[in-house]
Amino acid sequence: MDTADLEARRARFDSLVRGLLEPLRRFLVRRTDPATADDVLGDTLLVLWRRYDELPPEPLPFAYGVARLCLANAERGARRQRRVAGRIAVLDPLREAPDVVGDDRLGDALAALSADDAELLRLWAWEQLTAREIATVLDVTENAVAIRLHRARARLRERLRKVEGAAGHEGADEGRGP
Amino acid sequence: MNEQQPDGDDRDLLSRLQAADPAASLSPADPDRVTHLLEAAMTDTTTHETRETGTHDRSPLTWLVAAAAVLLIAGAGAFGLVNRDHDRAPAAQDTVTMLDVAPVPGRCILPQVGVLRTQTIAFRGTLTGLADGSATFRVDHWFTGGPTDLAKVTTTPARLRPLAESARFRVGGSYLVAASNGQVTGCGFSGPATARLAHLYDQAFPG
Repeated sequence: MDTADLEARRARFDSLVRGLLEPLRRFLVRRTDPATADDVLGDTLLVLWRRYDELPPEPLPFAYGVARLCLANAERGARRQRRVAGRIAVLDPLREAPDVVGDDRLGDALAALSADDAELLRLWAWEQLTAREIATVLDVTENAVAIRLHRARARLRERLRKVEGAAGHEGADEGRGP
Repeated sequence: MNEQQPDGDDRDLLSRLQAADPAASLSPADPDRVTHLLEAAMTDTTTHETRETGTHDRSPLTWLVAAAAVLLIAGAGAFGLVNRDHDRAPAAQDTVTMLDVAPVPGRCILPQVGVLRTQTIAFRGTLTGLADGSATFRVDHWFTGGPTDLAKVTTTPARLRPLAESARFRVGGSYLVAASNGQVTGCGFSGPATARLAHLYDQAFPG
């Protein structure tokens, strides 16, 4: 590739990725701690640059898919490091998805779901993706997403009922005198 | 992007989830940070040739040329061994420009001609030695400063390491290096002699 081609490619990539950057940052911040989110954002951009020719006309779901894999790689690397230096695990606890804001019961209910269910619900509610777009992110069929999402929503409702039911009982117990 | 209208229960669930979005109050990224991230991604020059596909389509002629090159190199090596006592320039005659490494600033500015032009030293060289805390270049061309045969960067290992990593130092590689006040300038101003960086150096130091 000569200099002019490279410059044109860089200009196209720059313009395209600036539009993806904020959604990608939010995607990562919803799933990991800020430092890891920042590192993984850099990794994601690197992969997008290398795979620039493969980007579809609607690149955001594809980019989320790349970010998801980069995050999984980063977490695998972190787990490996923790195994090597077991004692550090005490000082550097396992990175977890950040808490949902201002709704502890929803946070508890989400945390009680399987990782797959919780991820489907995040993609649906927070990234606001359609089943077709979620299928691109997860590299599964649209039909599978529609079925799993329906079940994940039902399971979240069920969990919420349990969490809120238990909280209701606790509240009632607290109100009762000795 | 949700195109289907959720039913009542789904709508309530969606609203509740969205109200608890941990990224809802995330402030936009610092524009300098965005530029730095993009620049870091776009300076990657890794090829995608795999072991499986890399040699797949090479013609027999390519292998013939490669074999001839091996013979030529072997011949030259043998000739060099036989003649090593003759006209080899003693290393002691090499002149050296000594350099340190500038501390990493909080933020980098993108490599640009205007900044490059203010550098007092700029050269294209081949990395001939890399050790903890030192990197030696045989200078092929001085844009400004010098001229000496070699340029040697000597600093603490902790200060050299980020530069060596960001500039992807590898012995035998060709690099463009800029420095001012005796300190090598990182932040993408010094790095592998890619066509893009070479173009910047040519613009900054015409003629």
